[in-house]
Amino acid sequence: MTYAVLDVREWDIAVDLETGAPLDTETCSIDSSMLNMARQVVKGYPYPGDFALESMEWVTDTALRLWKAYDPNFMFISYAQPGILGGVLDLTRDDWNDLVDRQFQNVDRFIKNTGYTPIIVGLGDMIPLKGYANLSNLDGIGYVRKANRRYAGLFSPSDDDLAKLGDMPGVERVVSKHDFIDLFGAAGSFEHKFPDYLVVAEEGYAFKTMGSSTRIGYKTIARNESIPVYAGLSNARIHSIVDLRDAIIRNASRQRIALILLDGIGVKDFRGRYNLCDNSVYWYTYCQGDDSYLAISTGKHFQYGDYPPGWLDFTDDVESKTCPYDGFIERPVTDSIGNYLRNVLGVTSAAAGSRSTFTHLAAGADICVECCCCGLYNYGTKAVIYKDQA
Amino acid sequence: MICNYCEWRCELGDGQAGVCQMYIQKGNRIEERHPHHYTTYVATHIESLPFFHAYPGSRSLQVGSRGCNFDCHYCSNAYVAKSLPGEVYTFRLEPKRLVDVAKQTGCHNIVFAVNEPVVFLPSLIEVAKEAQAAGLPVGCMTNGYMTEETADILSETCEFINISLKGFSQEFYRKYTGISDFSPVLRNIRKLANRVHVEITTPIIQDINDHEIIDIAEFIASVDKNTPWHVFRLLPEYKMQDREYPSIQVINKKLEEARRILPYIYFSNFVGSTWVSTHCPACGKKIIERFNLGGCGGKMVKYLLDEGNSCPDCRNHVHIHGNYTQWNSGDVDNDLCSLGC
Repeated sequence: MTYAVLDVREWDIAVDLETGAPLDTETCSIDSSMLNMARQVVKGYPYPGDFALESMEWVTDTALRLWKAYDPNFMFISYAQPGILGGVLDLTRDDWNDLVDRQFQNVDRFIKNTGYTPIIVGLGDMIPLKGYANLSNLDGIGYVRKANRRYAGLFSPSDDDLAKLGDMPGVERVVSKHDFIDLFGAAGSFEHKFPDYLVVAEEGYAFKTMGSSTRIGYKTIARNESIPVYAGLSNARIHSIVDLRDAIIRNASRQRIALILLDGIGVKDFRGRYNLCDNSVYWYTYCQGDDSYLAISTGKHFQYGDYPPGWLDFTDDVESKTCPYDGFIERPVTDSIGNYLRNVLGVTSAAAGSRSTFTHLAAGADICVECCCCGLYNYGTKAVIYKDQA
Repeated sequence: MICNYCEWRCELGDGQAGVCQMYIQKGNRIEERHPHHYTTYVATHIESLPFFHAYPGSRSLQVGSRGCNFDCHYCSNAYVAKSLPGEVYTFRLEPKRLVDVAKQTGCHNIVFAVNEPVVFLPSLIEVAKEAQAAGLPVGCMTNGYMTEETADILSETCEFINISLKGFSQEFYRKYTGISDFSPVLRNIRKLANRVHVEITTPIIQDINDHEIIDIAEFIASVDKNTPWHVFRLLPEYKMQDREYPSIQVINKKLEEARRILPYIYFSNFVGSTWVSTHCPACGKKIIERFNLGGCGGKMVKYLLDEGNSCPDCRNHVHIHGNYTQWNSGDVDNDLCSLGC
């Protein structure tokens, strides 16, 4: 069973992650040592909030607490703050540099304290927002998923819509489902959910349409075809974002590795040495959302997953949806790196992160601790335990 | 001229805006400054807004504009509600377009949330007319600080309204919301509850308004004992961002006494809340099961009432406005359904 401890400061509850039902931890058959450890790690150490700079320290401290309590062979750590804060705060150049410095100081602190071999991935640059492409007045429906903002789905467009989009400032391209599937070769659930058309924003632009954020935007994600990676492994051959998993798997049995993902950090801001790693497939560039996280974890490009950009995710949020605490995810990610390490290699793992559910979904580690944030509101802290999983 | 939309009754001069910055005097008329301009529209569970006793299970098109006539120190949406014109990106959507979007995306109703609807009432009225013609009910979330004439209009426009009763003392309202007298809010709750489905919401700030919990419960009971009351644990935001998060246990203990006064008290705004389901007041059976991902309200996962909205065990009638609606039932016969969504 996969379960979670939802911690809201002085109050907590354990739930079955697949059904969402509260667990009676006295009577159900779970490994109480893992449960107690999860409670111990999160108790009295609440997530400060997406807007608090201390949340970077929270990630590092939580990772250190997990290391001390569990001593895993593999650690997955995600820092969301530069990406989040750069997006919604009007930061000066100095503020931004301080933020990035603080981010790397936290990474250093973790590595120096623990001695893990780091693989540090900057998921991409943030650049000033130039403007919005407004899809709200088309005849069809434009839709943007929270987790993937450079790509909008377009459903039932009229000929007029397609003509308008051809001239609309901020729109880079409009791709039909047929053309997309033809080129990318997606199938199954991904193909089924894929919108009639995918609208791609020009670099520096974001969409305004159904589902888009109300927050005032200052920066947006860059269209980085490559991203910086520092890998402390001697035999790492990381040419693409999807190679990271294999590099970890090949070394995890004999080396203690920490995979550290940094939102909002690209070549412009990466501190220290790095190599470039391909962050695209055909014309699609990853955008620091579920696409990046799941591609890194599963070692498969986004089109081989279940969740396409522009998908009307709310249509599947039915009463009986499984994994209710996992947002849009419909079933556990069975091919996550943590799952492979645990079930195939017998390697222990842990995760800490401020990218909310993405942390445990991508990590799939034995124990994962993350914030429970939605829309940048801080609703608590979550510890997910996969170790009991068969 | 006096702007009579809300109880501020601002005196405007030609070209001048009032407290909310959303109306302006033009000649001998008070006009909306930016009619039909919105900041957001999303499909969401009606329970997340929250409405727990109206159209359970339905899909709402949640629509938000910008601006507010209050200045709540803890406002979670201050970046929109307290923004000045031009600060936040808005887009114009004609009433028919908004209703078409709702229908195309399988929404069963339209709810104006995010910011105070009274600051864009003429636009809301036009949308409601289109929606009603299309068979879509309209609801809204309001702070209740509207004039009686506006309350009359709103009661003819919205079928279901969630009114925020933020405290129960002049001192609280004066200090934390910026108004000097909250009696119009109480008056409007009584008036609207007589005419439409009303639910009440109160954000609780420990050591500031938690001592008013019983007063609020008694007031609600005096209006209608069966009114659902949503108690939110405050998120420290905006001018109160440095405050401590309230204790779940302390607040819940205070709610225990209130639960003897009102049968439908819900407690949310934190992940995992176990106080978001509905229990039969007569026999205690869990009759509507919900969970909370964080945020206001929750999501419904099980609806056990029978067709007459009676408890399946003891047959006690539970007040529900509108019918239970399956999440995807609005997709039938529309374009999205043909796409296999």
